[in-house]
Amino acid sequence: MIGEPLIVCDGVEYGYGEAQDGLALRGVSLQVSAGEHVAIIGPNGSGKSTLARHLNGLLRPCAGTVRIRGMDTRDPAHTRYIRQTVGMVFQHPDSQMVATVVEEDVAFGPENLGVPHAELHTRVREALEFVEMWDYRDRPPHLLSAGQKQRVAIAAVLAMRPACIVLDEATSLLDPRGRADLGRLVAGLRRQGTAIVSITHLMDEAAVADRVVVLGGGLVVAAGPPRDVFGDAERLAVLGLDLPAATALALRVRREIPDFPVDLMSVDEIVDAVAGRAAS
Amino acid sequence: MTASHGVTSAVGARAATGRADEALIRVEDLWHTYMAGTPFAQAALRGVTMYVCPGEVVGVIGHTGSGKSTLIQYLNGLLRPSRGRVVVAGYEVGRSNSGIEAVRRLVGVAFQDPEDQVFEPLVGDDVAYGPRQLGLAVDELRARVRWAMEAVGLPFDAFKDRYTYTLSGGELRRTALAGVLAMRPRVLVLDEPTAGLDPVTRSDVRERLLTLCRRDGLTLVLVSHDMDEIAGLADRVYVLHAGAVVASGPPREVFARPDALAPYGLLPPYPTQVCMRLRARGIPVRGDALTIEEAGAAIAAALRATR
Amino acid sequence: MNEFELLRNITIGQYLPADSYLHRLDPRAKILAAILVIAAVTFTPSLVGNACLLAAALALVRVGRIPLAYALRGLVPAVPLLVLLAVMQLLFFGRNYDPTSSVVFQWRWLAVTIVVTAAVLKLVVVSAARFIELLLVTSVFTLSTKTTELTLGIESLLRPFRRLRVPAHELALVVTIAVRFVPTLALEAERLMKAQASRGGRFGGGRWHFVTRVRQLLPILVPLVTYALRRGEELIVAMEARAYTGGTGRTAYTVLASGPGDWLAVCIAAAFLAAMLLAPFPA
Ligand SMILES: Nc1ncnc2c1ncn2[C@@H]1O[C@H](COP(=O)(O)OP(=O)(O)OP(=O)(O)O)[C@@H](O)[C@H]1O
Ligand SMILES: Nc1ncnc2c1ncn2[C@@H]1O[C@H](COP(=O)(O)OP(=O)(O)OP(=O)(O)O)[C@@H](O)[C@H]1O
Ligand SMILES: [Mg+2]
Ligand SMILES: [Mg+2]
Repeated sequence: MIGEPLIVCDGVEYGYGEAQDGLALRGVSLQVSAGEHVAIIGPNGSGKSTLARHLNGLLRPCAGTVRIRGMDTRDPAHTRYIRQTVGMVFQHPDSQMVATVVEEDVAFGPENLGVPHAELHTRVREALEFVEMWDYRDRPPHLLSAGQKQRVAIAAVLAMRPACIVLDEATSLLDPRGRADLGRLVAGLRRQGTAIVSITHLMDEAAVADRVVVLGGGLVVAAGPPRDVFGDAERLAVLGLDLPAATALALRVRREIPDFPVDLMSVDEIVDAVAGRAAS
Repeated sequence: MTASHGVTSAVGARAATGRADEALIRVEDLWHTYMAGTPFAQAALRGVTMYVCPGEVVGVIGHTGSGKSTLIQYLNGLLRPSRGRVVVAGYEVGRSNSGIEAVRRLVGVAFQDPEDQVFEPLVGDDVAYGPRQLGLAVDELRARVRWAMEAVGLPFDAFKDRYTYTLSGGELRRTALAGVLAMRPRVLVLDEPTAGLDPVTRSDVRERLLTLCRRDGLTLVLVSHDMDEIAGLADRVYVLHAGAVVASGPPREVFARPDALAPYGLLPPYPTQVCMRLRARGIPVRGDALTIEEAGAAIAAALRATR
Repeated sequence: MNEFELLRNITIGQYLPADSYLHRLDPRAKILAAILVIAAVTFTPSLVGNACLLAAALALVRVGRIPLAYALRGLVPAVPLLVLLAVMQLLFFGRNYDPTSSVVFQWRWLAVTIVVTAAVLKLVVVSAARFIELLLVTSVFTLSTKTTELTLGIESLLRPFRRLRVPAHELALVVTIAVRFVPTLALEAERLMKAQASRGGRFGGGRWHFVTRVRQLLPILVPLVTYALRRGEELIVAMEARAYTGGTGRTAYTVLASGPGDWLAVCIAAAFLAAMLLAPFPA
């Protein structure tokens, strides 16, 4: 269900003031269509979080443009609409808690959007139930464990029902089941037409995206479907990246079985490939 | 304070699996309640018993909120037991403050959230904070800071004068790790040390930790949500659930029973998952493969056998 | 029990979920009632009056279904301050404060004379009592009021003044954030001490050793202030990221609806204030 471009970044440049030698983003162009899942990967300090903050207008480009459904993020008149369209989960969950009670924190976004009172409650409940934090609804967020805070932060954005969700390392503090649940959620949202931009250091997470964008030193150094990006192991090493586990496993099998396919991206694919060959 | 000066090699060779009676750290029936005596009281540990032997790598895993971060604050006396015992290198952690500083120098803890750990405005100052408390001479201090920063992939000259609040997530994580490494403790306790690091740095850091363990007899307690990391590094694992240890043993045994892990919100490492799924489809591969290497070899062997 | 757990002793700025008359009270009525009660505390100088006030404050703790031990725990951090205040008053006020009052106690050593008169003694007791009453009332108030309720309540009360260009929503937000930051700062101080202690910083020492305690706090003060400023910035970013653009056009998760029960509370508080002002308490 990939349609019109929702987000268009064109030649975005950004520097954090004179303290920095050089720019954090040096001309990044990127498009995200409705219902598309784009993964952004790259080494530490390559500008991923900086780019993410451009996608909902928290930062404004020094040069180049960012347009959300055609609206320039530099125009303050569009701010609310842009924030409603693109929701963002930050890298550090502590810094995004607004209220002193979990359920009110989740309600804060929809309140700002003017969602009617009755619907507010259903939205908050659905979002918190999804991340399995409904039982914690009347607790203060600052007394939760790290992963629990991250779950609340995800719920807070889900409750806003944005057309695009930017996840900046949103799974980094989650347990394996929490990660798997979020993976399923992302797939479900995508089916409903929500675009997802996920920033991650886990190649397995990037491997399930429609498209992978690799940042390096503030530039897009590679982009394309996961199969293409991860297909070139040597280039990945140069970019400071890894293979998804499935691809690495396939490559290892290929060392002994020369015609084993290597463009495998997930557990399912590798299990099917092995089972298929064993049967034939 | 002999323990504070460098990693001593007295601990000797690395034990494959430690034995309880030669433990360096021993935790017995430990209970913890947050905000005890207030209506916010929340039980976080309910009778945890564990031990850590010299030179060993011990993994601690568990779902979110299972009490891992709470537990590790006991290992260097940041929290004092009110029910249960914690003994570190023969010293029983209690109310008294005498000896607690020695414990904190022996056991270096890196918190889960690097923001909780890094408090100086400049990166170099923050990494130097620990060694400075040890009263090192200036050039030795500088050498230590340089070593620690390079060990986590932060070029000393480029980063020492950076403001900590301008760092990216991964750079901040590295600063926090460097700050603990620079103290050269005998026991390192790391709460999700590689979360937020890029793949290359992640494997560099792992490699370096393993070298410190093998060569210098460093003891490592590792909390992680990355099962592949635990499988690759740990000699023994403890599985925490709702504040209690529900399973423990070498990773190969613990991960071999995925049905025993699932109720605790955990999954086995990736290669193990693949092998188990293959076995479920009737393909005879070993079920206890932990690494890509093992699983790959097993799959290749199974495929050759079907020819 | 624990050298770093500060938050356990802080009752201001925390919300305590419970189902009580005070929790259900319309925040506007609660704010007005609280102001009236605080006025009563401020304008009651007599001993008997303060005894009544203390009883009233404890009754509020009860009505709010707040465990008494927890409410009293909030007084713990204030104890050194109270003691300091009392000592200063006893030492320095002497006969200058109300010279007509009778001397209760006198002590002379070389050139130093300490005189305690009945008036000073009364002053000490009354100021301590007031302090405790104020702390209890504000604690009960914040423990039974969610921050959003507080914001909405203040905003709604200030709305009539909007024609005078009073920025109701923004003022309400400032108050809320100030209250919200009390526990946040306590928690952050806790983290800083842990961070420093675990890397060899010296903490600990006698629990009641006031001087060591203060000296230990100094190294965390600077980072704490920096932190507070940064947290403020982060909070703004977090709010903006969730489409916050000011008060207009927002809906509310919690809707204020006041009934007769709420206005009853205000009436009781007003009657209480009047009684305190008019009652013929012995001076
Ligand atoms: N507030 C700031 N002031 C100055 N420089 C900054 C600031 N924030 C980030 N930087 C710098 O800009 C560059 C890009 O940072 P960014 O946070 O976008 O990296 P990232 O790709 O998200 O990295 P990570 O994977 O570590 O999160 C880094 O070199 C960082 O040090
Ligand atoms: N400061 C605190 N005050 C009150 N309760 C707390 C506090 N910190 C943690 N808790 C609670 O204690 C329990 C254990 O928390 P802990 O941080 O030890 O979990 P964890 O295993 O480290 O989780 P994660 O994987 O998410 O980091 C959780 O239920 C949490 O809500
Ligand atoms: Mg980042
Ligand atoms: Mg934790």
